[in-house]
Amino acid sequence: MYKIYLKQAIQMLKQNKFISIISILGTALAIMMIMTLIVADEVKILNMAPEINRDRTLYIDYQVKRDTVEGWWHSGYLTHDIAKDYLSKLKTPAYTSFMNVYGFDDEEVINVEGESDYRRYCTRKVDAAFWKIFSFDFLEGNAFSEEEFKSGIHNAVLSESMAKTLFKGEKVLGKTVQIAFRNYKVTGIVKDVSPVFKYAGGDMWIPYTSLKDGLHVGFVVLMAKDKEDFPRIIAEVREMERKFGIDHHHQILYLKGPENQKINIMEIRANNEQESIEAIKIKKRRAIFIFLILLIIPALNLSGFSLSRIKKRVAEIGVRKAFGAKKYVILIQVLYENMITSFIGGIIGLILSYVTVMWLRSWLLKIPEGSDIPLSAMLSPTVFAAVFFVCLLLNLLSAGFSAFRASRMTIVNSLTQNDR
Amino acid sequence: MAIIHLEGITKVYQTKDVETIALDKINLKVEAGEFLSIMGPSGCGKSTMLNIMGLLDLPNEGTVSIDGMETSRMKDGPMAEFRNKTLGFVFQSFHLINSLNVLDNVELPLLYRKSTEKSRREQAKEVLAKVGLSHRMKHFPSQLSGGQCQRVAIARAIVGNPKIILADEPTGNLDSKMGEEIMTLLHDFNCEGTTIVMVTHDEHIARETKRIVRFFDGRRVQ
Ligand SMILES: Nc1ncnc2c1ncn2[C@@H]1O[C@H](COP(=O)(O)OP(=O)(O)O)[C@@H](O)[C@H]1O
Ligand SMILES: [Mg+2]
Repeated sequence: MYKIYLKQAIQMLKQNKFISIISILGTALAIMMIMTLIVADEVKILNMAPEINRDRTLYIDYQVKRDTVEGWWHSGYLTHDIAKDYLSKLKTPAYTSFMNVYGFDDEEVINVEGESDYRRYCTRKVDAAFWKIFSFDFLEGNAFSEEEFKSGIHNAVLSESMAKTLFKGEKVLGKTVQIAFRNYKVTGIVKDVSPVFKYAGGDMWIPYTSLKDGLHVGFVVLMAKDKEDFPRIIAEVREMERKFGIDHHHQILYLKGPENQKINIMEIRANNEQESIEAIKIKKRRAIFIFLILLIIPALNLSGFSLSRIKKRVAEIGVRKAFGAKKYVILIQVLYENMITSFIGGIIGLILSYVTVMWLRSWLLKIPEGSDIPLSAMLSPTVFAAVFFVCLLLNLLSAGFSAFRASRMTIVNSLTQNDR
Repeated sequence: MAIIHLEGITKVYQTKDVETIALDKINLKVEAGEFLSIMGPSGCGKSTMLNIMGLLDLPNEGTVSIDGMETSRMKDGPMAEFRNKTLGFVFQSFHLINSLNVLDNVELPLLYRKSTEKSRREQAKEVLAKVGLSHRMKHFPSQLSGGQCQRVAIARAIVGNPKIILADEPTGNLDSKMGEEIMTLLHDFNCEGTTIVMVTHDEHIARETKRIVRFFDGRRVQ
């Protein structure tokens, strides 16, 4: 029986090429769109060089300090003293790195000695642990050691294309570059890092100890030995907040997070724990809502197709019933046929989403050229199964309505439908 | 005992402001093995009559007994099974399923009863041989002439060995030569014992049958 249904379904697809192609393509594009969006989101949390430890890294990029007696409060980037006096004392993380956003702007005026051409480039001000957490591809030389960092050495690491721009093909290592009107010695050249990498990306990297005194603020990146340690690290951070309260009478410190990669990319704003939980909830709700809309819109469109397909077959349904088909048998057949269309569309959609992600990865997903993404991680079968299941379900529901209506028509009405 | 027994059948079509009495207290008995023609002008209620007889439509009043079964209280499921077993239909516009090939079209009634794929194939091939279309098994309806389509439809009506075949103007869409072929087939099946009720408005065709019943304006006049 199902073999005949299958035969008929395929024959119908062949006989109504135009409408079949459109409805299969509709399913395929819907699946592709959803899959690509999921992948675009997934890519932001995958380990990818140079951010190869995203899955075991926590971030703190915001703090609130309140004085309960004097009534003032201050909020913003993490201050360097908190990082130094408290967070650097954390025991569980493998590495704790402070990244300085000195002057609230990563762009610095750069020029090469003796030249009058001044330009601004993204300069990251980092510490020695930074080079342990992130994996840079050094083409020449190296960065700086812990001792050199502490001494406030004026070393600079340049990206390959930065070096080319500044020195136009000359030997770069050992040359002097002027950053914010101070001289730095180039000690390392690394392969270019896309600005997509929120923490590792940039044109050059210098030790922040080389900067003038001033407002040193930024964020802390905590790399755990294992992500199992996350709860312990979070507990330790809370402990540090309490310690701050004891050290500074009637002052209260709140450190947002520590957030894992997934939460961190949501870029939520919160001035206390409660707000943070609330903000995460809202972001999640919004994501689910968008996801549902993305499913329902194509499903509604597809239901239009299934309705028009069923309308052409009212007489056939009448004939089948005349020769002994029960209502539920008709219902099953129509749903089964629709499922075949969905399946074909789903498979094409899966292939399309692979193709899209592979071909358009730099353009659409901003994945840097040449970076290695494991395909299995990008398009996880469970995610695909879930999307496909929901799409199928909605598809069946939409076809179900027209199938139900058709199966309930009286035989005489069905039979005469086509003649009228 | 009559194989078809209609008593006091009234069918009224109620549209917005017009009420059409398609059938007005019709009584009709058909004996087993008969070949009956129903005649009358267009719109006199012939199709309505046949549809009620075939359990495809319900009368407003009256009782329909088929093969000794009083059908008015049958539910959808048993009714479908009963139709499948007892009745075969031939329509004026063939009503073949365009997305199925000839063999699959003929198999259709067997799909709705317990049978194996193999036996379905065999039975369908057998009746296709009887209607002379063995060489067209893999064709689709669109690749056949009108007469061939109606022969397929007759094969489909007969494949399940029903006791009764109901044919609504089976020759209406065919030229006289093809019409004759169809009539020959129906006569063959009638000779094998199948009861046939046929609607026609072709006097010439009707005269070939054993008995003629005439309708006028929803009433039986002969
Ligand atoms: N579904 C319907 N709704 C309203 N009127 C109908 C319907 N079907 C048939 N009729 C009317 O009932 C009468 C009998 O129709 P029908 O049995 O098809 O006639 P015949 O087959 O003898 O030409 C006609 O007047 C026709 O207009
Ligand atoms: Mg008629």
